[in-house]
Amino acid sequence: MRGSRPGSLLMRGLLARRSLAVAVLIAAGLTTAAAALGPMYARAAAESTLRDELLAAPAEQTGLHLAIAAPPDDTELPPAQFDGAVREAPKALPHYGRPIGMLNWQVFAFGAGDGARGAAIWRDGECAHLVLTSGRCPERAGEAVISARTMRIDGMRWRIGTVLTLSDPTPGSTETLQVRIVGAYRPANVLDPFWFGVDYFQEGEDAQGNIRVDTIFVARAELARLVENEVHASLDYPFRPTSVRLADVPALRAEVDRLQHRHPDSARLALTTGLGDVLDAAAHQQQLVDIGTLLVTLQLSLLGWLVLFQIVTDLAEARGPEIALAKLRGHRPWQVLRFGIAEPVVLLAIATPAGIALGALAAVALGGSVLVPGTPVVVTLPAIAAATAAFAGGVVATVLAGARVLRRPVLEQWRRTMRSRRPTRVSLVVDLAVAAVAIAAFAVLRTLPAGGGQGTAALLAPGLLVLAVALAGVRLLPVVVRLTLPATRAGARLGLFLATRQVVRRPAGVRLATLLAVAAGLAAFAVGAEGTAVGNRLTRAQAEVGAATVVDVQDTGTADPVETVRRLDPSGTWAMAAATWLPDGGGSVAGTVLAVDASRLAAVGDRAAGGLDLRRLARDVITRTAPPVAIRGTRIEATITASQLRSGSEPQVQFDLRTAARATVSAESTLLRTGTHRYSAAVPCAAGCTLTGITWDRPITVEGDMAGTALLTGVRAGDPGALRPVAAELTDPAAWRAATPVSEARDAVSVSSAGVLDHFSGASGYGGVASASTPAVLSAVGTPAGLVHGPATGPPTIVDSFGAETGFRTVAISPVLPAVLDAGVLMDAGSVEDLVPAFRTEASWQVWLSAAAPPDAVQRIARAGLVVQRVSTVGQREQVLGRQAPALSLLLLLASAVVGAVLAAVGTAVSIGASARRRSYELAALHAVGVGRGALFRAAVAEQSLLLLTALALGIPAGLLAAFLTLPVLPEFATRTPVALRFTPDVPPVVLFAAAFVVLVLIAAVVSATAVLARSRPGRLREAEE
Amino acid sequence: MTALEVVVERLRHVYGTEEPVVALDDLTFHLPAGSTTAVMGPSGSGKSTLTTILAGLQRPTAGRVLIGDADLATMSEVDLLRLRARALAVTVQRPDRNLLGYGTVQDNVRFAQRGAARAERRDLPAPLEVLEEVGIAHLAGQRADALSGGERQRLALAVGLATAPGVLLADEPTSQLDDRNRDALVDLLCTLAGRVTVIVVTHDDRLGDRFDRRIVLRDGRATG
Ligand SMILES: Nc1ncnc2c1ncn2[C@@H]1O[C@H](COP(=O)(O)OP(=O)(O)O)[C@@H](O)[C@H]1O
Ligand SMILES: [Mg+2]
Repeated sequence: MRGSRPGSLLMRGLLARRSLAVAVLIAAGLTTAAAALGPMYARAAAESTLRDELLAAPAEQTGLHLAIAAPPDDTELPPAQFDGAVREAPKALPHYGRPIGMLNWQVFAFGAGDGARGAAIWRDGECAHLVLTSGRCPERAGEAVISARTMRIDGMRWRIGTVLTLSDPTPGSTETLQVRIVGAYRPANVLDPFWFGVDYFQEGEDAQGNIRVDTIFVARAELARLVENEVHASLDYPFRPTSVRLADVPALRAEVDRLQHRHPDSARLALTTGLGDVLDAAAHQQQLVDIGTLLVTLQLSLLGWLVLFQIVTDLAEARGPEIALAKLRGHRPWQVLRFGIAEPVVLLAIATPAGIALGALAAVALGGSVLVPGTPVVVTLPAIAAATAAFAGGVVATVLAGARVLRRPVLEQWRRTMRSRRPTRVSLVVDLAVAAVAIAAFAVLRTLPAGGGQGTAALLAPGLLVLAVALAGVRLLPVVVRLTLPATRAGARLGLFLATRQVVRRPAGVRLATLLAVAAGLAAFAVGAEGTAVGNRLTRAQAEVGAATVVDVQDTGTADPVETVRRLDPSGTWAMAAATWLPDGGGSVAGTVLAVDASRLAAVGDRAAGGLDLRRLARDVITRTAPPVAIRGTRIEATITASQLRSGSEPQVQFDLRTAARATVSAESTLLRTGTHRYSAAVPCAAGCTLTGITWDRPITVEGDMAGTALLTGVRAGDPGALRPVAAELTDPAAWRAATPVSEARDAVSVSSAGVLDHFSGASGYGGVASASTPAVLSAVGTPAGLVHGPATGPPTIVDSFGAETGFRTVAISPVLPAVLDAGVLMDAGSVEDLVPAFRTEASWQVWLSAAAPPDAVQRIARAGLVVQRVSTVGQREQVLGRQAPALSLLLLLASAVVGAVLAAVGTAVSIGASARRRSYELAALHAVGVGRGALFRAAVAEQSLLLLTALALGIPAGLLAAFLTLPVLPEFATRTPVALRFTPDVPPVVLFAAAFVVLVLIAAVVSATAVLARSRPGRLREAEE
Repeated sequence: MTALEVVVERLRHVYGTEEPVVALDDLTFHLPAGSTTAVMGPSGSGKSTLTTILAGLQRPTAGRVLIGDADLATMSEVDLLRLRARALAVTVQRPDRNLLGYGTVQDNVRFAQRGAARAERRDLPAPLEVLEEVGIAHLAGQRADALSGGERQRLALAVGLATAPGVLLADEPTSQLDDRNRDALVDLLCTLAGRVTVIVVTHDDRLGDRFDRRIVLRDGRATG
């Protein structure tokens, strides 16, 4: 036509209706933002969960382990050919670090003194991961480092300079190597990904008394010399989890797949990796996030659409006279349509990019608050598609809302008195039908199995229930109000009368109340559910971690960790030693043994919800009835009165001791003689020891019955010539007991004021007396799945890696235990150390810290000589749980519900504003007939308050009800947990939310009432008349 | 476009069915092309009903209404729109029914011209020309709702003339005007004689003398 004139007319129209235009912009912008936020958030969340899964997986699972084997019989490759094989292996793989080559030879090593089993290993770059406590790293063939712990083993005397002879223990093997020890190490961190999850540091003694030493590290050239021995050659490719983005996953999968199927004939390279499983877990989470975001986004978009519909309806109504004018001027139907929808469509077009930007901002804000730091937020194609769909939805809303006005004949528009019709029967039936369908769908959703994608569908349930309650409730409200009307009219409460009449009469009011009720209900649900989820995350994190902070430490083999931690925190209120240990198969423990310094458990640990109380657990596993008998010095002496000995088969007196480092030491004295005598022995206890018992040992020359009576009346210890009495509580029946007998020995021990009396006998084996500070049998609390329930053939036992069995007693069953959850057994650490010889070195030691621990607790642990490997906190665990798919979906729901509430508030404000003009006539009329402004103001406030309070009264209980009903089926975590969770909504935050909503609502009511009254000047009256 | 003849024959209009109100009863008149006519009568006599029927906004219960050759009683809705877009200009009383308040004076003239078919637009007068004719060209850029009552009625007239119609139907064009403005507006309407068939509906008796003919309605019938 002529220039851009129609455009400027459109702009003038928008300007003239700026408050409505702004409302459309806000509603359309928020709806578009909600739609676009979903895909962007889902994408970012998927990136985040991928990163978390990759980071949480151990290095050996995500990494590639390439075992190099020789063709054709798949036997190990002679190391000489190692280089050739390595040349065949891929040099660099995307997302993997430089491969770590390794040669591993299981050996028997002899030096000075006793020999030991162990492994001679070259692992590429090992020295960077070892702390050399003395000497240096091996530089050339013929050199080796051993662990500092190995150097301290009595009877081996391996030192720097010692030459070790390494040989293959396999029968028939003759090849040997000679290496000189050039240094001593301790591992910097046994949990370092460099070690690929393998524990190369497991020193101990097997049941046959063979010593096994920590790995002997040698130079590569050394092992490469061997030609016929079984040297395991491998390459470990460490994974770089932070280099992988979602977009890289398909290529990564394909590459790993390709490598796994490479060289199927030669079988020279065998690749193992658990990366596929990790990626599968990440994909599962991504699926959960996708479903969750989709459902939440759909609900919010629908709510936004309804609000938008409400507003464009008002806009269309406001333009009714203009549209009639266009028809009066003879514009053709398509021109009228264009004129009618141009304004809202232009607004929608402006709102769409703004909405995408807003959505991206929201995704950044949401992501920044919960996702893995640095997670990128990108405007994805689906986000743009969703925004476009929102735009299309807006156009549909515009056309639907405008249809009535566009079709309305000119005369009808002119005649139109602004009095709205009552809600129609049809819409009542439709509303009730929708409510019924919603209830039915809700019931179906509740029956879906929790967990997995179906469980996520439960996110739809609260929306459905809230919608049903809102639709039905708002319809019932007028009935209730009408029933109360006569009473109101009779009274002087004119304001309330006017207000209730308005609510009853206006269908727009009914719609608005429904929208508000749905928004309030969804928000109440989301607030309550999020409160519960936050609580459950804490509950689960506490159970999984065990204490506020858990510090993994390396036991360097010097001081006993239990004693070290006790010295660190003498008060026993903030630190506790603990250890986890996976016993060997064959025993009665199916899961992990958690050994804690039980006397401190209640003060330091966190309860695993659903399990026994910590106090109860501690009481159940503590077996110690007496304090340990402490001695110090190089000589010990006991006063013993013996009788009824069989001559020629007298036992030898043997002191059983434990050093400060918990090493078991036996000190032999002389043969037992009839009468009262002093028996003494040299002991390595200058640094302090514990006397655990006295054994009537069977000399090598004695066969058959060995029997007699021994009365122990005194113990002294110290340096030779300066022995002092030891507080051994020899008259306390609780302090002494019979020793655990070996073979057929029997001991009848009684403790009286005379001392410890033992009638011992036995055709074989030997017995003795033991301090009750060392338990006779371990006490355990197990979980049902942590214990093996086989046919009961004797007492339950645990087996260490050398095959030694130790019996224990199950005192109680707890559904869950701290840290080991539903598959484990809890014991007292000191007791386990006493009774299971290999435990000390086989277990992974930790220090648990309570929330009351000093801020420098970790440094103090390090200063106390325990090497800190890793620090885990409940807070970190909570964060990780909060980044799982279900938590992310719920968070989006919360954010959406808040946006929904804002949307509904905008819708209300607009609707009230739009009706202000038409009601101003009525109010002006009332004013003219003498109704005071005060009453009119109260009526206006009351009307809006009534509307909004109705919404609250329906929405909040509906939201809470939805929470009660859906929380048990709504997945909160990506994985199941045995920890007892709470499924009732958190009411206080909901009450708080409701209170905030009420305040907002009242402010809005007062403001808009003031606005309505300001327009209701009597002058309106004249204008209102025809 | 040249002026058109208006013929009303045995026109009858009844509102409602349960308690029928006869608004127009057996009304017949004939207005030659280019004549000027005042339709007068007391409140409730049927003036508005006649106006809306002549404007094609509602169909009569019985009778014929011809504007030129077109029979309003039987025309399709689209043809009625086409008629109003070009041949028949209608000016109603309330400003919000007649003008786009937020638009400029010029916008309003253009808006009236939008309905014309593309081919006919060449024949339409330029907006400023029309505004010049009614004497408000200097207000072309003003917002319509910022105009005074007299200016507003002039603009309404300009909007009516914007499509160079054959018939101009104006409902109470002089209400809310002082005497000076009213006389000026009537002068203006009279200058249209010959060019356009002018029908003015008014309750102001003083206007009757200024027009070629007068139709006085009483209870739906013409009385003089
Ligand atoms: N929409 C209507 N429905 C029913 N009766 C109407 C309607 N419009 C007008 N009337 C009646 O028709 C008669 C003529 O009215 P109207 O044409 O408005 O006269 P005037 O414009 O001269 O005052 C009156 O009795 C009036 O009450
Ligand atoms: Mg009238």
